[in-house]
Amino acid sequence: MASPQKSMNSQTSRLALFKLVLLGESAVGKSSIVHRFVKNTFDDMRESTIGAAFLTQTVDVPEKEITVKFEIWDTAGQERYKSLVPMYYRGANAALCVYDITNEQLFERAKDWINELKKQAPEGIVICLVGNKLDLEQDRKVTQDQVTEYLESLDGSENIVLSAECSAKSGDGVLDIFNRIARALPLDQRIQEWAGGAAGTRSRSSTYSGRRTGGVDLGRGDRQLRLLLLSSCC
Amino acid sequence: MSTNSPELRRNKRVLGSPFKSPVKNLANIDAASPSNDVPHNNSNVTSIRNDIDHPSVKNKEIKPILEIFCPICKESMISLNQLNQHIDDEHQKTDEQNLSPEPPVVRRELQIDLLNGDKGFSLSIDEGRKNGNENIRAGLKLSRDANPLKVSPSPSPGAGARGSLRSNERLSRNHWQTPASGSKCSIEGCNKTLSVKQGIVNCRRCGKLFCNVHTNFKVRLRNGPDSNSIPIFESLKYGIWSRVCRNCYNDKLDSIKIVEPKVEDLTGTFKRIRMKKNEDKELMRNKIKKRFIKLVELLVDEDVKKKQRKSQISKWNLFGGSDTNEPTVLEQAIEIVGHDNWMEDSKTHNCTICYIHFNMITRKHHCRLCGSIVCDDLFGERKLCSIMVPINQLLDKLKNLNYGANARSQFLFLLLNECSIRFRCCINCKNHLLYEWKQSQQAKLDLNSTDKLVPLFETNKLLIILKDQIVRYMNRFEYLFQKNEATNGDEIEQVREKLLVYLKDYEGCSNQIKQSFYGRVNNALKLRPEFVDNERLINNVYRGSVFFLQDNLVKFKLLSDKLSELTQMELEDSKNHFAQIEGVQISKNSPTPIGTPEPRLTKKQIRELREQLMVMNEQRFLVENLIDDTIKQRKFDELGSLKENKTELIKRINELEKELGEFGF
Ligand SMILES: Nc1nc2c(ncn2[C@@H]2O[C@H](COP(=O)(O)OP(=O)(O)OP(=O)(O)O)[C@@H](O)[C@H]2O)c(=O)[nH]1
Ligand SMILES: [Mg+2]
Ligand SMILES: [Zn+2]
Ligand SMILES: [Zn+2]
Ligand SMILES: [Zn+2]
Ligand SMILES: [Zn+2]
Ligand SMILES: [Zn+2]
Repeated sequence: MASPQKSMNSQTSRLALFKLVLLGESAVGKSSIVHRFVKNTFDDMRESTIGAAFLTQTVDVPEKEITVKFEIWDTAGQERYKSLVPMYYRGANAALCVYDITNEQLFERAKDWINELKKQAPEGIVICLVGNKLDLEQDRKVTQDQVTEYLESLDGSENIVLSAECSAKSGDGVLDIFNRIARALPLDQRIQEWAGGAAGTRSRSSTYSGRRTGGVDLGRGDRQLRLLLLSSCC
Repeated sequence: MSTNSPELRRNKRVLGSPFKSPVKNLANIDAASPSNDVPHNNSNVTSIRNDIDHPSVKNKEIKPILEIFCPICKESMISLNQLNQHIDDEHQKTDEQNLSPEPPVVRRELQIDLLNGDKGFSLSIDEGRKNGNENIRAGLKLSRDANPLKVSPSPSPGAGARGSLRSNERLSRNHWQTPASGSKCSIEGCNKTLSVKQGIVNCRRCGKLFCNVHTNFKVRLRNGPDSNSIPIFESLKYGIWSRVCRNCYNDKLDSIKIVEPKVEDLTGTFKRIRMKKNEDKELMRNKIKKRFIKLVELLVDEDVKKKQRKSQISKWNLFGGSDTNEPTVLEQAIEIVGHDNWMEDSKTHNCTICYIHFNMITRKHHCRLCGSIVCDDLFGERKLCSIMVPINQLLDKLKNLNYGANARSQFLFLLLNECSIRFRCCINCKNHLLYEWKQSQQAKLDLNSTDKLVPLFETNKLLIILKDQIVRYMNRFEYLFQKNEATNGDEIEQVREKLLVYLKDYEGCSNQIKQSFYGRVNNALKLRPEFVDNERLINNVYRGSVFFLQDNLVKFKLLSDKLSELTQMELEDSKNHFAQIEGVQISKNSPTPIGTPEPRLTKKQIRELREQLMVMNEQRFLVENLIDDTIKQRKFDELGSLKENKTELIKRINELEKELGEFGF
């Protein structure tokens, strides 16, 4: 209840950088989602992505007085570029695994991506399973029950796996995805790091580059480090 | 006191007050005889000197609104225009003027007069160096001359011979150190025992003894205030050139150094003025725009009424009506401009813009937007000061203004029909009104001119990528060829094929440029007329591509001819041999025969690795472009991730190349 007021009072929210990667087969609409999010445009004749494209966009999280800046790598879905993709999810804080709700096969491939992420990606990565082309509801092949079922089967894994449906064409649900991801990211940890950085001075930039913000481990190390710094400081 | 003087001066100048009548000041100086102890304070000194040096001071009474003054002579100006004019007029030959010897009598008398004052500008050395320097500095600050030689320490009262030191007069030697056996050079660290050979020289200034080397300096000196004081520097020509020690020479340099830098950076001032001007202009544009909207509303309203009247009442009213109604329209127009801005006829005799004198033929007109009185330069003989503008011409260009109800309801009608509604508008107001429109036109033009070139840029991009590949493959081709590995698998053959494809693609691109931008005139290639603006750019791109292609095609042909010869030979060779070299196939020194043991990588692996390498290289190219764009758009905060990614890509590329080894490109 007090939080909105608090954010009103604060002069500036701080900017937290997070990396986000989009995965999924070609033509599921990854680039379309990104462009809807970044530029609020949609292009029916979008060309298939080459390599990986880089875009940025921010999301405000007023209750935490943080502005999340997403550095987005939009990878290409074509087979040719498969070898490129790990490079981008390896450094990511969040990943969108996109499928097309009118195609069950693409849904399976999105699941494959999630499996790969669980094995290869940094722990603590926030994953979101995104069904695109919601405007083609009449051709829907992947039901929401199927999605829930799959998510339940994942229960017990360390990763946060969200699910969402959207339409890049109409814009429905696109912003929502990024808002939810922003709130699922370890923002508190980032705030702590900032506070720790203020107390523990210089070492902040080197210690918490914020690239791989892991789970509990890093927090403990952080506390130890701060103690160390405190004891050694005059 | 001396440290205050610059600020004092500047303030005065800004206010425009120091400019008294030059004649009066000159008279003052004449009256003040040298022996008269007329007290002068600093600011007085300033004003006098200013006026003396520049008797051409104008605008004595004008109070500048903005702080504009000449960076050279500090004369205050009322506008930048005037400043330009002033610099042209007054300072074109500044150098000559500065170098020409000024009337020495006036200057010297003036200085002595000033320095004799109660405030004591004594430069006598007794008061110590520091003091002297300060006085020199003070003197400098009073002078606006950049030339240090013009500022000269003047003799103090006791010195006598004011300016009359004759060149044959001897400098005082009373203070000279007398040499003794074993005397050493007074320069610290020199340690030379003075002798005839090393030199035994008294510095003409400090009088101490030095060696030859350390007295190899000359400065102008004159005698100090009394016979026991040491000589002092005198830069002007009545100083005597004298031999001095290094220390004294350095002292002299120091004093010059103090004198020398008379630099005043006015960038900030001009920047401020310019910014203010721009802001003012923008405000003015907004004002004019608002007035225009009101005026259009008024005129359209009037027009509608007129038409109604016309249809209602009989013909005579046309004239009568206009007679009785004109004043009210005019009054309303004045209201829009503001009474204060509406210039008074009785007080204005010249056009505000071209300054032409009004008479029976050249009539006065009020601009309906700014209220200035301007001439009607119908034939553009002067500066097109004003015209009667049909409003639809302006409306057409200013469609997005917030017009009033009348104007909006009539908007299309006004635009589409011959327009009888006109008003007097001066050229300045027209420019203000159309400023943004002109800018957008310019932007469109710029866009168009580059639009035409987009295909060129696109093709050039391809050319660059292909060129990269060709160079790489060509190197590999040559390398393999020289290593004499003609028969090493079919790699060299593959390279040759790839090279051929790339070269063909390159030729295609080059031809595309030729076809899109050039035409044939009398069998000669000529740039199409629509592209002449960018002639050099297009020519360079095209020529570059042709030259590159020629070079590489020749090389390629040469190598590939030799290759086919070689393979022919080697084939026969290996047939005869059929030897089994238990060799490492990788060894590059021995030509490897066909049918070697298992290769390190399978063909499929090689293909995949190569494909990966290509993808990585493409991506690297993309990211490098992204980095360039990011820098151009000054989004430096995003640079980190991109550069990180580039490093990662390069690392991966290196890994892949290593893995591929001899199977690489
Ligand atoms: N109807 C509909 N079509 C969509 C939607 N999103 C994307 N598309 C279309 O799907 C096609 C592919 O979209 P992209 O965004 O290029 O797909 P991608 O996943 O980036 O493909 P790659 O870059 O090849 O990996 C385009 O023609 C889009 O117009 C959507 O929400 N609804
Ligand atoms: Mg794409
Ligand atoms: Zn000396
Ligand atoms: Zn010496
Ligand atoms: Zn005029
Ligand atoms: Zn008038
Ligand atoms: Zn005007």
